[in-house]
Amino acid sequence: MHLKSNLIFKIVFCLVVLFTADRVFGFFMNYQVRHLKNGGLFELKYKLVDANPLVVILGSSRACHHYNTTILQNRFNGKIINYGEDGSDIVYYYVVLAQLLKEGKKPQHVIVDIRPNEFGASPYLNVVAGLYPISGEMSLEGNELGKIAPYENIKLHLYSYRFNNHVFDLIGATHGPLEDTGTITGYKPLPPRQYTMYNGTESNFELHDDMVYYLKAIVGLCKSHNIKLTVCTSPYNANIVRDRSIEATEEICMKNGIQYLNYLNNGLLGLPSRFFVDEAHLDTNGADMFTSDFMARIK
Amino acid sequence: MQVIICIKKMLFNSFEFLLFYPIVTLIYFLLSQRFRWLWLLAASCYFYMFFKPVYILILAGTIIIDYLAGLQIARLKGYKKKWMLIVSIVANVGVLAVFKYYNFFSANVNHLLHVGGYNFRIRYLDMLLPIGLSFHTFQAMSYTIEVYRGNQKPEKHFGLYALYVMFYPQLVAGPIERPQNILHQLHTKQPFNKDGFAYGLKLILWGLFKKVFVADRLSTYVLAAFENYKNQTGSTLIVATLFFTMQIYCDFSGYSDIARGAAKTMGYDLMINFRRPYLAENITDFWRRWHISLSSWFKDYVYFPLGGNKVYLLKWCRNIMIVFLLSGLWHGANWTFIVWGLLHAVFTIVHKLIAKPGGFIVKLFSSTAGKVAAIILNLCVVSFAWIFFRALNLNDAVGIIHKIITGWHDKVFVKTFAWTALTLVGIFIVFAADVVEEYNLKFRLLGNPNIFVRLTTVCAIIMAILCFGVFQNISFIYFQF
Repeated sequence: MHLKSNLIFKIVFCLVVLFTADRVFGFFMNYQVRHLKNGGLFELKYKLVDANPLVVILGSSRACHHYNTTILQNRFNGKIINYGEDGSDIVYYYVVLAQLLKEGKKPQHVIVDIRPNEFGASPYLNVVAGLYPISGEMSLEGNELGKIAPYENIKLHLYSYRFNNHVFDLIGATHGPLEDTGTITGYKPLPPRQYTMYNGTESNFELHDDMVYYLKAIVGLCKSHNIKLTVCTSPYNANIVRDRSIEATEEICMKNGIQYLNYLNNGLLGLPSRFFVDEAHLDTNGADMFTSDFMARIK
Repeated sequence: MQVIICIKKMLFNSFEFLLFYPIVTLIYFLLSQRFRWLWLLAASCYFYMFFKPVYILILAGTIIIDYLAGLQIARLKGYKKKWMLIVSIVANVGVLAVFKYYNFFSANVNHLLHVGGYNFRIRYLDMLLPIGLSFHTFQAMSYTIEVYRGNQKPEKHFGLYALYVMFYPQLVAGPIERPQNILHQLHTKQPFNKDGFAYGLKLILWGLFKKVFVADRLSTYVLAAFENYKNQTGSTLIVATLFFTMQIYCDFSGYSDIARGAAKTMGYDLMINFRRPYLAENITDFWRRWHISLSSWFKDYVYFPLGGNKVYLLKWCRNIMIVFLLSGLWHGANWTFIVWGLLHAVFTIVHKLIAKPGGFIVKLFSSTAGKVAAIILNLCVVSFAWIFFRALNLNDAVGIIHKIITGWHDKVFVKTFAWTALTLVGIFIVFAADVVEEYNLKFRLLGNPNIFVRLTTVCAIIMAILCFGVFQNISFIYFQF
């Protein structure tokens, strides 16, 4: 009995020390977040917390590299922010929108870029985890994300987990020169590269209902907040015969009366391969041409 | 676009396991001895079925066959006894052949048919490889072989035999246990032991650190370099190879530590699977320290029956080639693994031929500086072989080696300062811990006699894992085998 109580004492002692360390660490890191001055997390914090965009562009790296906000500025009178993020998927797009609304932002127009095979793979939650340092509990309130990752809610009770692998970035970003928030638009053009011809055909992946759900959830959020929604699939440098994700997107948009612009297979804009850096991404010239065309078509 | 397709399984570094493990352990100690085996068996079934429930039937099938075979082997005599052993081995190897090697065989036959101008094609089987198949089939085979040899009495209790094969800590990635080590432990009541429990928890924590802090961080660099080697410089590929050398060690030994720790907290001792392998001074020594449960399995059931080293040199070389060829095949149905195994066979033979006792080479490496040089040399040799292990196919492996030779002087790709610093710190900690243990140095943290040093170290490791661990649900490398 004595042996057991001794062990229990050690375990309790460890837990108390860990809890204290976790809270102190969390307090310190929150301080860093409040004093961010530059870097990727500064940009993220600005886009999510400080900026009040009129037009929001959601999507993966394709959105980030394809939608030139300067060109779009000619169509909209207000701040346009591109929230496109490398490696993200529909879960991330939803979480960003939910977070903006939670922060009290009121965008008038949301543009969502849907990739081929958008709903064909499991959610990539690590990209969502990249938002945690800015706002740990975001969008978990309604437990929407919890449906896919039930343990994320529990994990976030640990402050250290929230700042996982951002410690050095955060500390580094609180020093150095102050970044100009006026230049932050989220659009990151890709330089042209040597012309490469692609002639691939996307596989016909199965749909993940969990992922389709998040497009419907975005539609629901926009409807409930009276936000105009446009869905688009920007150009892709491959001959895609059939894609279930695109079909599901078309169906959802048609059902909800949402404009869907599909640029696959040169359907709307015949961009030659030389405007792509790879099969999925336009270079800066291609992005300009696409954005101009998109701007003309958008209702 | 980065997409990770996750196959559901209960990884030791997952949150699911963080819930599963304490619940199983707590209820285990609350139950009386009569029901403990049943509880552990049920927990092990749940653990396995987390991956693909229907595959439990395959496991159940081989367990029933081996259980009955064990009883019959003990009862029968002469050729009938031998036939029962053959039935058991064929059943186990058959499952391996179908699930693991059939598609590899088909692909190669189809290639030969194509080269020969024939239109006929063998169909592929569209199915997932059951996790840990090679591990539990080998463990099952060791039981029937040991019963056949008379070293182990047949297990009459079906539930305990099933638990011997399915014991969840070592079910999917070893250590590949022997019946003599584990079966008697399953029969005996394991009382709660404070020291054993604390030691087990420390092993789990250390294993988790190696996996989440070191291996998974390294994997991001290694993945990018090896799977896109054409766009990498030679020097980057050298660094990636060295990183993979550390990644696979931290990944697999981390798994083994967690497995041993989870078993130890319940009072069971699993065999040690790694004994500081990168401090080995030669390739033979390396294989005494790396994946000990597998290398000793091949030694006991293949190498010695072939004659071991008590044969003529040529025959010994043949034995070594066979053992390493099988070892390569065991790891996976791919030519890269076969070449990896054969490379180790060649290294072992060359070492035996040039490092004769009392000879020039042995004398050269006998000083302290010589020993350090031998460790580094051995590390380089082992790392070179890992290229084949990690590459997706032989073309890639050759391409990587070509790039290394022609571009070793090019610029190394360096990730962020934070990533590099954390990686180097992690590698240093793991190496330092190995050196402390290898040379029995007094500087210990987790094993420090001062309780506050121990507890502070435990807390520091947990905080390091939470703050800097890579939580990307990255599977253990050896799960695929």
